[in-house]
Amino acid sequence: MNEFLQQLVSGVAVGCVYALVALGFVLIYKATDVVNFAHGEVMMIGAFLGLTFVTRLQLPYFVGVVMAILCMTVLGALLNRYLLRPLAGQGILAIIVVTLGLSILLRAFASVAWGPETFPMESPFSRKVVQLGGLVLSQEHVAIIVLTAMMVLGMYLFFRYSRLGIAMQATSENPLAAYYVGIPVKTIHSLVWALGAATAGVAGIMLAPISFVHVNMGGIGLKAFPAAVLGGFGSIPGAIVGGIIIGVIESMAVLYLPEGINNVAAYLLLLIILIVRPQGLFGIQSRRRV
Amino acid sequence: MNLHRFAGWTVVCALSLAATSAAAQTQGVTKDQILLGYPNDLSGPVAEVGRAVQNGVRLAEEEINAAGGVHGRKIKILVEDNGYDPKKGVLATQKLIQQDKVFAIVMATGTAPAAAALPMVLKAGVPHVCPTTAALMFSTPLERLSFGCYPTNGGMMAGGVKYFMEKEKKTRFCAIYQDDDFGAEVLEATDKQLAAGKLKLVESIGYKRGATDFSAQVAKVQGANCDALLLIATVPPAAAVMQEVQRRNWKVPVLASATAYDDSLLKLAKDAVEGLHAVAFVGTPNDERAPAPVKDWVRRYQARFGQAPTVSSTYGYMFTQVFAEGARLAGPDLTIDSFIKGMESMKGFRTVFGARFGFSPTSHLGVNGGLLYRVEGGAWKLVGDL
Repeated sequence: MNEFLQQLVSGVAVGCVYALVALGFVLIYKATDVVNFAHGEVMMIGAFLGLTFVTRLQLPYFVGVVMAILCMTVLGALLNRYLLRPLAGQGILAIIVVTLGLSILLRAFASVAWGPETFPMESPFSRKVVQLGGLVLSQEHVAIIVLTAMMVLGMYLFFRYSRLGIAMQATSENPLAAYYVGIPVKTIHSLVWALGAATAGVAGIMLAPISFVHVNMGGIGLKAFPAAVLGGFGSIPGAIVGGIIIGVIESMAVLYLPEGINNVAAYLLLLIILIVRPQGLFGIQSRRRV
Repeated sequence: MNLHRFAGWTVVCALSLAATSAAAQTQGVTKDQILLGYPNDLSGPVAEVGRAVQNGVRLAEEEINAAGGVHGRKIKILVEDNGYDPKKGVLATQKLIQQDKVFAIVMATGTAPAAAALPMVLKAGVPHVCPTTAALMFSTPLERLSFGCYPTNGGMMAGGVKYFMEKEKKTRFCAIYQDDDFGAEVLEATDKQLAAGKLKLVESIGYKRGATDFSAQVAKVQGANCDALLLIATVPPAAAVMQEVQRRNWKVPVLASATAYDDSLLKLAKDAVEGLHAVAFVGTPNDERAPAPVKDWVRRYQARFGQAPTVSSTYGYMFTQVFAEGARLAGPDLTIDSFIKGMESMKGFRTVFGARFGFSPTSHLGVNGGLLYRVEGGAWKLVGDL
């Protein structure tokens, strides 16, 4: 039983990282209609920035993390301003190619700027455990779960109650109408990108002590993307639940399913859910009358 | 047929026989020189490694020649760029054999280019010695002309497993392995070694390249109550697994594959790898604790090339020495046949780095086992030979 609970916690923790990356996908997609295939790489840049501030510049951990996240917001806004905005009205294919190109570019940039090696990055929670009865949990995992919960709550309050959050919702519902009522749509788009990049940065920094910092860590986008689809691409709670489900299934499958099936279990589930509910768990099917 | 004609034919036959044997009087070998061809990557993706190997080759070549060569013959190694590309590899090797008329192809770099050129080399009847690749195909199945000097990852692991079975008396082995060709090869060699001692893996679990978290894998093997954990992984996953083992406070002896033997593992996993065993081909030469002859070698290398050697430089150096030793054992009359006999009579030829080479008429894989290292006080320490 303890083994099951321990595994559940580590599955949820890894799922939270998937969830945060998926959240970035969804935020950007909802607000700007861009599927950002470079989002995993944006996360990787966040981890490298964390490494730079915390390990290289020896800043106190939380100061370094905040600095890295601030840099990420700037990066997100710049990407939107100089890469995506000029593409407005260019069709989905151009956007896909540009974001795929961006992912290659970011990987190349990181390997030039920081080097192709794998770097360790410690957090104040590294190598510590929480004992709850017979349960031995990694502080790292618990911290990830707590932090993700706090971020999700913060985001919920932000979108529900703040003017800016409501403006973002309005923009994602109908940019033209939002523009007519005086919402600065371009600025909002940049801010959404900033927010998406910041959540990716947080995910990267949380992942760093578990899987180290390296150029290819953006590959996690391949897990986060199905998480977003599972939740119903475009649904924020869906992205969170989708990420956690994939994390937990992956972890449990290794323990309880035979070899071979464990690697595909999460994707099998994804297929089944999409067959039963094509709009995803939390997706809303939009129908058009003809 | 009259007698005259018969005599005439006999003379013709005798003359042509003499001519062929003179031509077979071994391409690339003269009274004072052995000419070798070395297809190396100078421009492709592993050019940096290629350069390091080549420096090692040059150092060995110069030292062997300065000491008088092999039976009075100096070694001369021609390098041709193969760009780590099978097509270029074939062309480069063809030029070395047909135009430069080398005695043997040595240290051919890269599995793909060397593999593409191998059939041509064998067809030309030219020895193919010590390619710089760990692929099994250069020694197995046995080809008379082909000699492999690189231990396979599986072979090294099997040596380590044997050590754990015999010296450490372990009986319940578990494994965490990378789920790909590399992992499969090592796992197969491990199974064979365990079967020799009537053992089986108690539990084994794979992970995909690029996996994020290994807590489930570690939980699975920990649940199997094993007394030794085999870690068949590259450096970053090995570090992540060891951190998880430490976090669970699981005191299990761990043996890692040669792919994890690297200084970067110590940097990544820090004290979590204390006590970890790993198999290796040779140790890094730049170790403060390296034995004096290795330190001396590093000094010679630095003096010659103005930079520090890498572990790849040691391969080039050793493989050149292995060739020279084979040629020495062949005796003063160096032919293809005598060279093969010489190589096959090599037993436990020890290089300065500790690796030993030996061949036989039934095995052309020059090294088995390798070395066993252990992390002590945050550094790799040699435990012994396998």
